[in-house]
Amino acid sequence: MIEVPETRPGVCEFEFEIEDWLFKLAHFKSKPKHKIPVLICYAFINRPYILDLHEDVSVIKKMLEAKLDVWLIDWGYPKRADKYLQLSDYIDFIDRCVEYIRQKRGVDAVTLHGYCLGSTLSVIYTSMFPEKIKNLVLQAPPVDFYTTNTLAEWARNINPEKIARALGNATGDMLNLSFLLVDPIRLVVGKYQSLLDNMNNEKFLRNFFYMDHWIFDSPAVPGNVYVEYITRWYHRNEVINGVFEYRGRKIDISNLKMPVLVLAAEKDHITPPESVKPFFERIPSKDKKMILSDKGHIGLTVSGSSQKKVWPEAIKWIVDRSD
Amino acid sequence: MFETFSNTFQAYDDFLKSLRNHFQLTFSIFEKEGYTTLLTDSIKDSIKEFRELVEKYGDLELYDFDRYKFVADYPYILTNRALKHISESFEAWERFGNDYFTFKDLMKRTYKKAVEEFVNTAKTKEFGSYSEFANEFYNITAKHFDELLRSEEYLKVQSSMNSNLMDHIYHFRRFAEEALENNPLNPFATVSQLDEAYKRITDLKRKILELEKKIEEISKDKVVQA
Repeated sequence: MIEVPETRPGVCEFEFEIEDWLFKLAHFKSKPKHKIPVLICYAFINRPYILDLHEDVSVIKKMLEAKLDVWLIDWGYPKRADKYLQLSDYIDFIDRCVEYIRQKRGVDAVTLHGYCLGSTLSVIYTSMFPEKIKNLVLQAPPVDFYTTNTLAEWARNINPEKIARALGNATGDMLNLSFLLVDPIRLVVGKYQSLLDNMNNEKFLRNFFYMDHWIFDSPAVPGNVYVEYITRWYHRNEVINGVFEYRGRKIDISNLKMPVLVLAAEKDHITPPESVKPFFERIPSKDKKMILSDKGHIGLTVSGSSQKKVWPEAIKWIVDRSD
Repeated sequence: MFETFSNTFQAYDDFLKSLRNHFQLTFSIFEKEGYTTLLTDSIKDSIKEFRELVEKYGDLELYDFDRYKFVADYPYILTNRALKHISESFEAWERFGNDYFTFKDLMKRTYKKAVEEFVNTAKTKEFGSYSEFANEFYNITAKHFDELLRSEEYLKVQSSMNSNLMDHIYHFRRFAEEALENNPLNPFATVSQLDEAYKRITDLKRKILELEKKIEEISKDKVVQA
């Protein structure tokens, strides 16, 4: 049997340039050649290092090798003290980061790359401040929340106020359990059967432990944000319906006229392609493209096939629009 | 997994039942030992004092009411609100218990159905390896659970189970907080009191950010004008 590999996610070096209590803005060290910086906005329900998990599957490393200037928002690990944060605070912080990068790099606009719920925030932000976004990249974007997948059905049938009232925040463990129980046989039993079958496969073990480490490293979602996320997005579908409000202004998808790249995955159980396609059709941009991976929500980032096919194409698309 | 969880569930259920019995016994002792008489007398004394004060000063200032928090002057007395919370907590736990057994039953039935289908398949199909055999089993079981987890019956039970468990946790905590907040010997802030402080801090942070933005905009305007 092979020794269990050490799990130390995060390959690329970075420095935090903004640290605001919970939220942080990381800047990856590199010598960029392209003018337009890329700001990555990951989901607040998981950790962003999935994009820099290890050497073989690091999307950020690929971006840096393509001489892009890469920045990333870290939403942190919320504690009880963060219970009263709101979705608008997250959008405020995106704006703070965009302003900071614009000033520091002397550019009018940046490339905003949203992933999962980070895409939802990115769509809201871009529709409010289109002049500050040069290119928009949306990876597995949940924008239309009226889907028929199990997770969406569950979300529509829970009372988030009671959870926030009892627990303060929606804890990482609770969210993790929900994600696993959506598909208990494959995710709880089948997965570990594959581990037993591959005990002598070093590459498999490495990928398995890195992934498992990431999966169970789930931050809590602040109570108020959780209530907003479930009621405004899942129950009322406010984003695609154009009624989501941020500081008195309504979201307007018709403002997405900048180049838009959408990355979707065929087997995505959180953002199924049938929910991404109608949203993609509604984007008014004349320069828009969708790349479809044959994997799932996370496989879109870390799978071998996505690393070989999806990311070289996606990064080329960004590079072509970064000068 | 369900059996292990059942043990935890049973242990916690026993704890709650003991707690309920403890309250019942404590109150019956108080009744017998005349604790209620002590309380009634103190209330009567307070009313008398209050009347005298009103007669003496005419209009009563708000701060004078602080003298009449007689309930809080007796440590370990449970307020009505505390009793309401513990009773709601017990009721929610009971509802959760019923939901949990329905949930467990649904899981068991689905698993049984899946196994039956797998056995029937296995009778007519040959497996080349253990992996093939296991994968067939997982696929059949997963298919049955996919159906269950999206069924109306399951969604209803899960929603009710979750709601009742959260009610139980909330009311149990509020019960403890009510008891502590009304106990003059308690030197600690409760979670709800800290939550209120967190709420105010978050609101203040938001206001500071707004002010900073306004100052920045004014500074920019001044630079443009200059």
